[in-house]
Amino acid sequence: MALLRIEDLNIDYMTLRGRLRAVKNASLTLGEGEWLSIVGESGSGKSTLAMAIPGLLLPPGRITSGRIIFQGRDLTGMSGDELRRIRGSEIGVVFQDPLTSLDPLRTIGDQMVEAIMEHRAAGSKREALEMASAALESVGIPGNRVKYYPHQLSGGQRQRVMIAMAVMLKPRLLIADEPTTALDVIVQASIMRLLKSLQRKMGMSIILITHDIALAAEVSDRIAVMYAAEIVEEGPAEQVIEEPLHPYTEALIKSTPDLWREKTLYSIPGNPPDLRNPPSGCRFHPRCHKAFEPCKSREPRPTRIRDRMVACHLYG
Amino acid sequence: MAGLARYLLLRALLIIPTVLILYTLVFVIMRVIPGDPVQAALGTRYVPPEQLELLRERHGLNDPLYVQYFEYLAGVVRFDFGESLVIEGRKIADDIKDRFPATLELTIASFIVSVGIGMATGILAAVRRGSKLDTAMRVYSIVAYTLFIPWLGSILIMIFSLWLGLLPTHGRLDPRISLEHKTGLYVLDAILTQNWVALKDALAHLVLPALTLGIVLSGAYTRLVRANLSEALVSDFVRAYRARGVRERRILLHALRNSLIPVVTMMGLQMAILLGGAVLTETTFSWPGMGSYLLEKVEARDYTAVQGVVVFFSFMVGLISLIVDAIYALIDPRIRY
Amino acid sequence: MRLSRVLDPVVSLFRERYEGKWMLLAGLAIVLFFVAMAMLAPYIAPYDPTQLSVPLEKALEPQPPSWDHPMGTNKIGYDMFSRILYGSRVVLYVVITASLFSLAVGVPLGLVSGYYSGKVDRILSIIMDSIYSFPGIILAIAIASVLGPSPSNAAIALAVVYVPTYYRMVRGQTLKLTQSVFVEALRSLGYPTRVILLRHILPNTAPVILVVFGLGAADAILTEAGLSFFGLTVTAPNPDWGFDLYNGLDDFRNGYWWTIFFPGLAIMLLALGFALIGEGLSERLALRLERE
Repeated sequence: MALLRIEDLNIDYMTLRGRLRAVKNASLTLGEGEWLSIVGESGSGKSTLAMAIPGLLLPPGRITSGRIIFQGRDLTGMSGDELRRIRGSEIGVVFQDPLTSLDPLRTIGDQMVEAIMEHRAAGSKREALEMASAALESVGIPGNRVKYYPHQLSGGQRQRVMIAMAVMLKPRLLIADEPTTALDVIVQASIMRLLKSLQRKMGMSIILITHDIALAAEVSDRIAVMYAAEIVEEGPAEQVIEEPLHPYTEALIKSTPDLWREKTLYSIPGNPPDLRNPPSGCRFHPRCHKAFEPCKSREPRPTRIRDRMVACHLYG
Repeated sequence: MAGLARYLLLRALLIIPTVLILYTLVFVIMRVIPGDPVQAALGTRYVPPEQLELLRERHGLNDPLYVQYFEYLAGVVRFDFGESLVIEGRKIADDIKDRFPATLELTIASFIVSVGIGMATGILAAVRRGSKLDTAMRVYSIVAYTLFIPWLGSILIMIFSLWLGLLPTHGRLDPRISLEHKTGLYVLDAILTQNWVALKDALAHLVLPALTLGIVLSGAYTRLVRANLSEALVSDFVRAYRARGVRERRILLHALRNSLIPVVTMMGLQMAILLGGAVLTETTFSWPGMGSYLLEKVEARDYTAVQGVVVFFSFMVGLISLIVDAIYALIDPRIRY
Repeated sequence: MRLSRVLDPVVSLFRERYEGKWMLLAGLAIVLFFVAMAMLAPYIAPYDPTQLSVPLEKALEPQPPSWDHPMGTNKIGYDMFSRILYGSRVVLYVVITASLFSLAVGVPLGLVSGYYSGKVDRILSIIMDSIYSFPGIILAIAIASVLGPSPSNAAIALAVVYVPTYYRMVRGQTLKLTQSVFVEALRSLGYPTRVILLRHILPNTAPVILVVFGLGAADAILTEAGLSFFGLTVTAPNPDWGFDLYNGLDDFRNGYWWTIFFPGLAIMLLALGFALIGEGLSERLALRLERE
């Protein structure tokens, strides 16, 4: 049985200038122990989709329809408190900016112990503190650093602390939202290695949100590509990279230096669409070099090809 | 913590220029004005010229200006603010010792009221940001600040004392109640001597003045808490708390703590405004503190006393900002000296 | 050309739509109302504010509001409405004179201090901060009491108190602008300092100065009322809101509420008017900074 199944999820932002659909008819499946990366440009809706899973959408974002089935239970129908109990214990989250994601006024130990006690995962504060320092050790930070304040740690260390906090209660799912974007390249690599080894050790599933398809190719089992609020392609990582089906995926790969060793770097013509007023038919058609007649008028339906999915008229 | 002590000592030294500047300002204004302060203090009363001369001599007004300037300063170091021009032989420092505890008590009580009301209204506004309640709180923060203290005080007296008969209209303590004065803060004295009758009466006298001054000063806290808390509530670390499954009520507390740092930095300035407001509050409620003293001395044209009050208050302002700095250092671990 | 550079950002404040606009408009309406009141006082006041307005036998006790005396009379039989009208002249004169004076001193000092951040800046800053951190009303009382009670002396006292408010704001703003790429470029192109300061930095601080003028004037009205309450702006029998309020304190306790109510209301409304102007403007500025 799949750990997580997202079915026809729609998320709207109610803005002053009207409704904005940030995620449209998204469906995904994530198996136990699987690593799924959601790739896309900024504003494609990938973060919104990921944050909706543990109920962390910022207002005015709202799930308007669809289901999120996690371990057989629908998260969209849960009360705030039920969701809260799942967050931090069964689903962990790591955010983009470790500098601002820690409370600057409290020691990291205090912050960890509080979360442990909220989930009644330890009998006493002392036991919780031991758990916290063990969690720090597991991400390569000396356990006695529980006494440190966030400002006493470097950026990379803080991200390790964030990861320790996310995994300390052994969640089944870890959501990492651009966890290395704010860090320098060398630290990036070590953080990704850490995530990979934690996944192996604990057997948890990971959803990584990234704009970097090369990074996704390196670490993921599966890759989903989002464009303008829609999932346009999804499949096993190697296949998606070696043999992209959607012209957008292809363009994305071509514009990545590591994967396409051409002399001049490709860049996709045009700009991402305004989600308040998306193009008719296929949303990518104004920028697509393979566009033909139906692309302008009809929306492409998701098509299954073996265990891959693509939403493009070329395959319909 | 040795670093902190050194920092505070350095900050304490910074009080000196503040006092010097305000003293100089007042000194210059008093001396450049044509006319004789002794004559002014005596008003229309006739005093023989030789006695006038004697008075001038006594107050050092015949010395060269720089001698006057430094002699007074030398006195200030020993907590000597000169002698009254009006009441012969009366030391200004003794007056201050008599009057200041009343002002201190009023100021502390008003501070508590203003921070209490300001936090409550600011939190409400931030939590319900964008609602009608939020708008109401914003209007409150502006209107509260524009209330004229004697006016608000009088209206409160009218409602609570004259109509409802709940609270006394003026003074600090019913004259029929005896209280042993230890600190000069009546509420504290009553508690120390376990004099519950006096405690109840002192508190009843304190309610309206503290409420008046507290309300007027609360608006600044309302807006500050609102602005900082609503920012903190959408910050990354709050979302991270939420992602760890921490209860919303606890998250609010953490966000509040973070939003209080700018509030604390504001407190020093607010305390100064509070001391100024106390002057008007005391006059309204016949509260026998520094404010009423200042009014008496202004009316009597006792300029050495007025000068003494200014110099004394400049010390107080410096001391307050020192205390605020210490509090700031205690709640924010990022401060390392 | 130079004038339009100063005025354009100001005009744009009124043109655009934004959340705090109602505050700005309401504030302007209130202030203009009081300005009109002050100018028209001699024409609309039903009585001489310093003359008996009721028959002698009624003058012994304050008379409640009525058609003849919309705000009642005080204990010596003066018409409160007329006194409020005339009082607005004193308040506006003192506060506007003082604010303009503070502005005229504080703005240039702030410009110079922020532009040449050196020893002069440090010394000026310490002096200004000392005055700024001191309770304004106490300082104003001390100065005014030495100078003697008169509207002009009260204006001088207030002016001293509010110079640091303008200074600090303009200095901060100038410091920020001086470090900007734009001013750096002007310097490297060899523009004279005078031109940079007056043509480029000053116009950019204009909106901030307006905000400070609004909020500063609101505060100054309350301080003026305090001075007046202490008997330091006018002497009897002349009218001023704070002074009338002080003189009404005893009557008020005997139930003659109107002797205090109307002067205090006038103080609050006028202060509110200026505060709303300042708030509305500052919200607009914050919005613009956010957009940039």
